[in-house]
Amino acid sequence: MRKSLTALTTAILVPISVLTSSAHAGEPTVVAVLDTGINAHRDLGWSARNANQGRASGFILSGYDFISDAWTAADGNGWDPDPRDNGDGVTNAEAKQRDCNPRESSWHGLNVAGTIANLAPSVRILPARIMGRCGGNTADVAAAILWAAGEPVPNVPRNSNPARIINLSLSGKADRCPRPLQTAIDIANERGAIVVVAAGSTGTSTSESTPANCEGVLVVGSTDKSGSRSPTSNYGPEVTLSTYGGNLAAEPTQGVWTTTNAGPYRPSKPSRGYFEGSSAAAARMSGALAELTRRHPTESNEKLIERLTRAAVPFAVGQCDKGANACGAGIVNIDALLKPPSG
Amino acid sequence: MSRFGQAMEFLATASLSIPLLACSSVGSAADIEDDATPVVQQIIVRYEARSPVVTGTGDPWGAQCVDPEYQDRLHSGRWIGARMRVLDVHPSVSESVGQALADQLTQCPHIEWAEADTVRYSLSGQHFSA
Repeated sequence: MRKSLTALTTAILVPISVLTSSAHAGEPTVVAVLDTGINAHRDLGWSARNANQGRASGFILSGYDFISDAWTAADGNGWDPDPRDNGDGVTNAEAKQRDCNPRESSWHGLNVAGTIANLAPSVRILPARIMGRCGGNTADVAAAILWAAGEPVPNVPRNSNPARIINLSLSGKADRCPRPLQTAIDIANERGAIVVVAAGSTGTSTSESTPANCEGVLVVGSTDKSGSRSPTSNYGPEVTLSTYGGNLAAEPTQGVWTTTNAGPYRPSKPSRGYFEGSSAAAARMSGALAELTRRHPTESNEKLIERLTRAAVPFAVGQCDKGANACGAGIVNIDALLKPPSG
Repeated sequence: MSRFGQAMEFLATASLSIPLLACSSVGSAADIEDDATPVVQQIIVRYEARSPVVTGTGDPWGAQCVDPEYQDRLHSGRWIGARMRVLDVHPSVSESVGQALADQLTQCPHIEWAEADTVRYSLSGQHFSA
């Protein structure tokens, strides 16, 4: 497990053109992060100035804000071209009024983006903002999936960087996949995108958790450092594979070291910290896929997923406490998988 | 010009004969006691290719197929791609009424399906310690 962003920080000091023209490098892989948005962070090569001007730089491509509700977005408007995260923190009073849980801002999109970039140093992150205060809805998620995959979305500028991988580190309670979501995922698949989704972190069955219960997605469960299912990770036959996502309840450093922001509600200073759960596990899987795509640029999506599956180690007895096949085909040791070939 | 005497808007340019509006045979939303919390604020509709998207009276296509007492609650919302469009429900309705309205919309000509947008998504990794 990489516990520092040293490699990431070093990577951004190397001109992107050098990274992408190195001996075994292919085209940078575009990974869409459909999440809370993104914030300026040196580790991602995205300065506050670039962020203010909506300019792509470093790891970050121009994105879009698909949160339709102005209060949820905390930016005073609906859909707009600014994917910056204004914070998803909710005060006690707001939570009571809006019927959701109070919390400080998560900077979850920044957590996911840093996790991916740390594993895939030549990746490009396409930020699409769909989650805000008190969560998100299906219409916004479906629109963002379509846009990320390169499908036209009316009244939104066409995405000129269609994603090969679409990461969704989120879940909602639903006993089946909503049709708008399945429609969007089917189209994304047809356009050549791998849709990576978190199993969910409510410690419940993936059959009641969407998009984990959709077709055409790679569902990622989380394990702790011993290889056991993380207690909060959802489980069920829908899970494709598991990988380390940590367990911060067990110890405060048992997570994934990544980029974040220090602001409790509104963005302030860029920061770093530990991130956990099936969100982190899905982000790590997306990062691994991005790096594999760069190394094997001609391979099909099926072959790339097969590489992950082949690398998975079956769960030992008791590690997946919810029964056989409830945590996927096994645990992918991503650090070992991405280790540069010796010699 | 449509038989409604006004120009009609179509999803794509085509000449179509608009069938007489067939109201659905599915359960009536009006029969549901709507004393539950109003949580459905939007219904997502997928139209068929070359479907009309508004009626001659300017209502979103499909509104004519739901119970009359709910027709005024359906408003044209944003297009989200792949022939899918949000119909805003205002004032909002309970989940059971929202589902009944979606079922009636699904029965409407030129609509592939409709579904109430009821899932609230949350993040799958909230815990963070710096």
